[in-house]
Amino acid sequence: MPRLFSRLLAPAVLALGATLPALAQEVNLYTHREPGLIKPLLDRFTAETGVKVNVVFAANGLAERIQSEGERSAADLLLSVDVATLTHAVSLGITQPVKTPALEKAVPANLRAADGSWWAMSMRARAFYVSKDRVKDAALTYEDLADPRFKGRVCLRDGLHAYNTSMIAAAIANMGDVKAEEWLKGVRANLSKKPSGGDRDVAKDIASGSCDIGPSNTYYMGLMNRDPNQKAWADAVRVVLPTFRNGGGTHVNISGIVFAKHMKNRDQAIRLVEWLVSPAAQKLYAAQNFEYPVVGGVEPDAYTLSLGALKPDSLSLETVGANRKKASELVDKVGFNLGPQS
Amino acid sequence: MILAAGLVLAALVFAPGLGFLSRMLGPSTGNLFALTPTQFAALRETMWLMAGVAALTASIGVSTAWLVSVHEFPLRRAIDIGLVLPLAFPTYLIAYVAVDLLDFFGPVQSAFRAITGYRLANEYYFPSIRSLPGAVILLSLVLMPYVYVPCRILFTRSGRNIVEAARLLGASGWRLFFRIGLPIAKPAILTGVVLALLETLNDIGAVEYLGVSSLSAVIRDLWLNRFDLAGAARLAGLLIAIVVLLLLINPQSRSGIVPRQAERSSSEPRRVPLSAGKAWAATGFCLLPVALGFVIPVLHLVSRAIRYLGALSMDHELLQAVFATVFIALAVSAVVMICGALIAIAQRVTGVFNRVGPLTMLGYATPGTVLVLAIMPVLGTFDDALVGMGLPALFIGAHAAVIYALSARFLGIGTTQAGLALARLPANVDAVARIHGYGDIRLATRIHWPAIQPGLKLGAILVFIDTVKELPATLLLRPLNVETLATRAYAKASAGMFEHGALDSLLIVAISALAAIALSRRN
Repeated sequence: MPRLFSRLLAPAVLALGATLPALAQEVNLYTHREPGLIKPLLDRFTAETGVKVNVVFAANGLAERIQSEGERSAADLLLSVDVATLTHAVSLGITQPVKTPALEKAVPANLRAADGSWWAMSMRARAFYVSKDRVKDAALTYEDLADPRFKGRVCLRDGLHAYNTSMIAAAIANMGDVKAEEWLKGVRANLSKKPSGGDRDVAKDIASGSCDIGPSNTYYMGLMNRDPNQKAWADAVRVVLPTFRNGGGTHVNISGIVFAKHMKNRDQAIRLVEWLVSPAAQKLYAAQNFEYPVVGGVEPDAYTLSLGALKPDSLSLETVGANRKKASELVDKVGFNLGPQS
Repeated sequence: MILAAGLVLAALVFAPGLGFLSRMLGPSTGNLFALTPTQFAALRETMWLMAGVAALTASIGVSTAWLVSVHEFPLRRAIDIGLVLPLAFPTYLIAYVAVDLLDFFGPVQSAFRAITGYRLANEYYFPSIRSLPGAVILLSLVLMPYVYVPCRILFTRSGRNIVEAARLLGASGWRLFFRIGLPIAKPAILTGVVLALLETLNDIGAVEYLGVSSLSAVIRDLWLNRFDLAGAARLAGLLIAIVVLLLLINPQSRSGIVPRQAERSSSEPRRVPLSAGKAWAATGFCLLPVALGFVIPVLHLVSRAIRYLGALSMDHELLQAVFATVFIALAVSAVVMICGALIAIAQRVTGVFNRVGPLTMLGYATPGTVLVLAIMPVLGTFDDALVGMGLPALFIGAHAAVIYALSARFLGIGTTQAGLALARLPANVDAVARIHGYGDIRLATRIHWPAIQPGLKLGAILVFIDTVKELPATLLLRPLNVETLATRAYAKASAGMFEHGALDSLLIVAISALAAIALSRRN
């Protein structure tokens, strides 16, 4: 039996354990962002600094994973989209505030937690894609989405998707509970079909003529425009950066990062985050993903600029995050996902 | 000793159950007993979806199995293998492929417009695949083999004598099918339909992508938008209650994919040749599900893979993903079959586990993400125990976490297949062995273990296919820098670039299809 153990089990134990001590300089990144989007950036970081970045991606649930891994967690950083996910991670107690002069200088105060428990890395806007042929308005408000003239012409993805709940959360903050409910009922009445698909499908559906207007994130335009098989969709639509009637600007959300409570590679983690908000990295990120840089003085990609001048809503991101539960309940209450009739 | 081993195993399997219970009992901001309109609608749509999938998988599965078993027609042998192949398609993948093929910009509608001269979608009617009927059809196409395989085995083995007898009495054609075939196939159909429904309840992605509001989507909303994990767990509990009802309704639930009364028989029923017209009609009828559920989607994936060849990473990362996928699937198959065998043998020898067998199906029935959330805290406990014993921590952030979670999930397949194989061994064999002085251990190793082998092989193949396709647990628990084919394809799809993952998707299907062919050869 001892020989059996040493021959068979011991190598297996080693292979399964896979928790080898850190040999070189490295940093462990848990990410809710698709790895293809951040890989070029991380490769550049490794090339410049010699620090290896180990990655695990999942669409959601990584904060819960870090929580249950406790002190044994390998995570140094959690990169996520949507401010509510970041504040949720903070509320789970799996993060620690970190502040450095370089970070405080680079990231504006409204794009980070006051105590340094989360930091924005990039910004995206919830725009409208409208038909070039069938919608002539130069400017639109979020309220217009419920305007009867768009009856049967609005399409969008699942109302409970983070991008939409955040937009609805911002609407609740800007319009108040009662008006926001009326508005969402109006949008529902305007739907051309049940909410489904993804953000790109808004452009696709407009190109096919099955709807004329729908909310979608700006950066998909750049991505579709770059893909020869999707360019026709992008060509059929025009981007309008909507505002709120009370004077509020375009709803923006962020991708951001938190430092794990039990991080083991503190210096490398800080180095990576500081590098991500360096002008060069922000520029690269903007060119790669067509998002808006968070660092002052760094221009978005030329294509993103061509979509229009962004005037972000002045609402604090934490208010938007706090309203997300209300937004989800509202989607539920008005039966938004059930579609136009039923 | 066998009792002890069984108890330890059962404890390991039910540990996630405790994790799940503790999640359910946590503070929730919602109220389970007052379903909101959306939740109620989701429950209703889920019921319709299940009813549709049950009806369609049963009709396709049993009718094709009957034709292939009792009639002779062109391409019959190829079709027999082909009808198992749709099992290789994960539900999320068939949904992406179908939308890609059938939406406005897909080849079907483009060709239609080129012929008719229409330009825009609102100028003509084309049924949308993104609908409840669309979801029913797509899920049924890939889940149909769950009914086909047991029906086929039943008609081949135990059906033989009955069918021959009925023929001697003059029954043939439709009458033979409706009066004899359908009634004797009932247990096999029920068994297959239950498995298909469990997969339906478990689906993440496909149903949502198709715009059907499912309970799984509501569960995700409670968790991700309202951060109400306890509410999510309670709703999942409702889902599991539905499954338990299903298992109770089904008298054959313990017999797994092969019906209990299936007996060994060396020859199939004599196959009656059909007249030329009818024979080709049968060929067409049986080829349709193969074409829609396998051939056409595969061809589409191939064309996508070729078109996006430049964007695909053909490098060592792809090879590593293949390796990781196969390694995890083999490991899970091995663990599930060994544990399944031990539990089945312990059940037979001690009689203690008679009520445990069906309960091991619960892992299979729990929505994947919910199961993972329940397992996560358990992994920490295991590592604490290991470290307490002076051993290295094995689970957190390691392959072992994925293998454990998936083993707990698929254990039901192991216990049912092993139990079934063992049930074919008459009880008096045990008695004879004991008279000859066999103790528990010798009885288990010399008599039961060999008898269990065919069931284990069948079960291992099913678990292997399920693991290759599995997403939520692999995605959430895998170690740093480890990707499987499914996680790679999923990452691309979640960024709205499903076609860039076409090669990974093809490999998932290829690996599963090879295993599915092995399954069909066992008929």
